[in-house]
Amino acid sequence: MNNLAKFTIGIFFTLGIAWLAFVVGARSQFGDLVPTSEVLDDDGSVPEDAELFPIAFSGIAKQGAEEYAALGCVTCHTQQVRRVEAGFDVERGWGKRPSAPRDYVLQKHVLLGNSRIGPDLANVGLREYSDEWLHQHLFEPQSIFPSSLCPPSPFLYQQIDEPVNTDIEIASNNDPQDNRHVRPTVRANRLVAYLQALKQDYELPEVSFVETEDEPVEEDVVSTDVSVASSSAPQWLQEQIDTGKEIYMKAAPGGGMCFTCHQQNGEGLAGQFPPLAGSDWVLGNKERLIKISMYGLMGEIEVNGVKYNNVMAPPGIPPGSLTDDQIANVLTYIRNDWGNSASAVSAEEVATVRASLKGRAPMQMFTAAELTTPVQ
Amino acid sequence: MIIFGAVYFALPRITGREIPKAAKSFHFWTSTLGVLMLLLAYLIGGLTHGVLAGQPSLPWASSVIQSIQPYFLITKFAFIILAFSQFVFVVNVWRVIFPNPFAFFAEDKKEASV
Repeated sequence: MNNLAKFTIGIFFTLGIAWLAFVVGARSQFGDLVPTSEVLDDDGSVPEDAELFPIAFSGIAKQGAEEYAALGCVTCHTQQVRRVEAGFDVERGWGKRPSAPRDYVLQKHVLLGNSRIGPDLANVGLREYSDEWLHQHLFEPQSIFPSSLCPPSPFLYQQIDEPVNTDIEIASNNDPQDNRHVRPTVRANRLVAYLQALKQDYELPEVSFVETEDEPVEEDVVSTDVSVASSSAPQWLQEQIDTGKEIYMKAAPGGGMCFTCHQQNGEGLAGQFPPLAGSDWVLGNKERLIKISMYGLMGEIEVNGVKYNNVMAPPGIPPGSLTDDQIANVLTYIRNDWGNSASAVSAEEVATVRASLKGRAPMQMFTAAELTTPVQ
Repeated sequence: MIIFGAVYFALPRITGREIPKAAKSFHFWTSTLGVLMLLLAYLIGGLTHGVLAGQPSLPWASSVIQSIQPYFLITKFAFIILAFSQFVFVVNVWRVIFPNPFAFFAEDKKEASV
């Protein structure tokens, strides 16, 4: 009997310590948190008429949180931007500031997550994804990020044979003819409303925005722009632009090294290298561009009314080694980025030009004069 | 692991029947292999993940996650080994508790024939 008493006391003691630590301790730390204003008065009180943050989710977003939990998104996605000294979250563009406990006080279930197989979603609503983009990502993540591990959720959508314009077109990775049209079910709409509502775009008295030195350069951010545009741009064009961008940025065999002179932002360098963004040459005649991409360019050239005098070696490593496909892609890219918007260049067009220049010695650079005077 | 040890210690004493040593050590070594694989894959993969994710210039899906995919594969194998090993454990325990699973039916038959 003596042992039974000891045993009972031991059990109560063990559970009591756990209860103190996890319930009482957490309650005293976070239990009294309420929404508050971004800036407090000098005496620490909330100013009158100030907007209170965080804001409660709308009804459909609350239902979306249930779907999020039910689908197990929380297994791979966290919803917490860590402190600056703890990691890279703010630099990665996952949030403007670290998350605070107060951010979650209005949520019924706090879906913090503990594993980052997917990117953090605490601020997914701030990344300006369109609803269509999110639907496409939910339907088939691999149609946007080919190497994504996110499981597709086609059961949230109805496949539609005769689409109306509210339906969403899911572009196929392989074949533009194979695009499918799907209609989101109410579950998908809840989920998207929830994702769009996830944003910590306000400051709290205990945490303010982090100043970042430069914009994060990141696939996800780039793809956002691209994919928002993709509602209008067909998939094949998107692919040309994407591969073209790789060639533009690549400084290894198979790449064009274009960015070393024309810069990543396509602005060139004043007085030395002409810009590509908004350039009358880039947006103009395709044939000239193809010729320059094959043979390079030397001597004086006037771009947007400004004269440049420099040498552009034939792009590629080794020089002049870009294939028809690569030239078509990289030209399509420079004609469709940095605000440029012009027709795509196809590999067939490049092949035609290449055939017409059959007699020309390799590496014999063009001059601007040669390109602007019509060939007899 | 503690539970396994406790069961292997207690069961023979309760039932009076011995579990074959080979069966026990088979369970032990497959569990150890599974746990070790899991541990190493999670440890090395996790550190790699952290280091890569800490470089904001690396794209997420196509670089960070791509490079830790082999570790995911290893953990899958490890879980299969562990599941198999626990199956062996269940069989071990089952065979001690019910040394002759057909005895019940055999008795039934006897009664029926009488």
